[in-house]
Amino acid sequence: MPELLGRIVRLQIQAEPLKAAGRYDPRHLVTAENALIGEAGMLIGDDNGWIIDAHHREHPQARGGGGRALSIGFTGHYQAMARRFDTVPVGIAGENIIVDGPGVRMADISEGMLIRRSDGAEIDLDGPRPAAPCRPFTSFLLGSDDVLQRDTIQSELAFLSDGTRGFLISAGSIDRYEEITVGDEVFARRAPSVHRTG
Amino acid sequence: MSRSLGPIVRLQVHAESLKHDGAYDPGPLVVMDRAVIDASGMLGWDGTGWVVDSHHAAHPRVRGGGHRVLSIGFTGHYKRMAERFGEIPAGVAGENIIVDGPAATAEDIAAGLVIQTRDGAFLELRSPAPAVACPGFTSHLLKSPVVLPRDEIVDHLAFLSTGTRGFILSVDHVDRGVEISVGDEVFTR
Repeated sequence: MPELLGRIVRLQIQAEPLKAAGRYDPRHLVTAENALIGEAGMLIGDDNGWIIDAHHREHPQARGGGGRALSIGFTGHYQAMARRFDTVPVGIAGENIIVDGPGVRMADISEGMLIRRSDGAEIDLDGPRPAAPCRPFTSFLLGSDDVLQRDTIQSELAFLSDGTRGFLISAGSIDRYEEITVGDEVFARRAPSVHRTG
Repeated sequence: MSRSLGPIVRLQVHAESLKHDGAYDPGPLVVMDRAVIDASGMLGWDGTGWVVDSHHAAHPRVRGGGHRVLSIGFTGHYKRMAERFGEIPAGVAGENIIVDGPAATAEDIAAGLVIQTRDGAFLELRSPAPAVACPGFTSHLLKSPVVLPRDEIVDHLAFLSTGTRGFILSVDHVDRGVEISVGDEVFTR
């Protein structure tokens, strides 16, 4: 029986990669109330049309053919990051989908997730795996103007791993675009364990 | 030997299809200063992100996998259309690329086209074929509030369908995106 993890509170794309010249710069994040997700990645609508996410297979800067087409994060993880790093705006890590819910762990969602829209349609999100935090993002959270050396931020990198930095998910089973909206519910395909943070 | 056909003066994407129930509506045209072209079609930069053209393989409304992914027109053709139909805004036919140059014929560009970008790269555009004019667009030019029957506009359709309405191009060979900008020069091959 799927267990509710929470509702979507933010949808966003990276109009351009957030890492440039090794530094983390979140200004290319673009949010919207609605988005389309498909096996190649995510689009959101703005006043001019459909904007393509930097991880979409067809984005000009896409590398690796859309191998990490979508990502998801949880407000519980943002609360945990805020406790450690002070101010951490929700969504700053750049996940496409932010869910208002506890910080789940890999074991909680190992069977995958699904989005249930208001019309009852369900969209599978397969193969979640923790996003590996990088030095530029970690340095950004620490307020450093420079990208810090790995050996000086090992404990922060470890803290951000295991899902706190968000999860990459496969949209390989979504063979045509599906629309999702802020407020849609996200479920784990099986009941989460009690191991939660946030 | 190649020759210059003129500089690009307009880049535009169809944010959505310009035809609804056969009627033509240029409203979803979005003008850009720069764009990226590859085998999947064209994306235009709107200052926020890359906007997907409705003929691009990534567009949600694409059917059939991105056929006729790119098109080009010439200001010379717009002058001819204006002579026949009255005032015609440049680009209203929806070509992705508008070149400020004389009205090229299919024979003129039979060997294809090349765009030289500002950084010196070359983008080859193959197999130009005249776009076939539809009753919806032709009725729009005639300022008709309804889509006219084909047999009432045969002459206009013929006038528009030899390149005046623009050319469809093949970019199947473009495996990496090439960025182009307004001002880039277009040549015959």
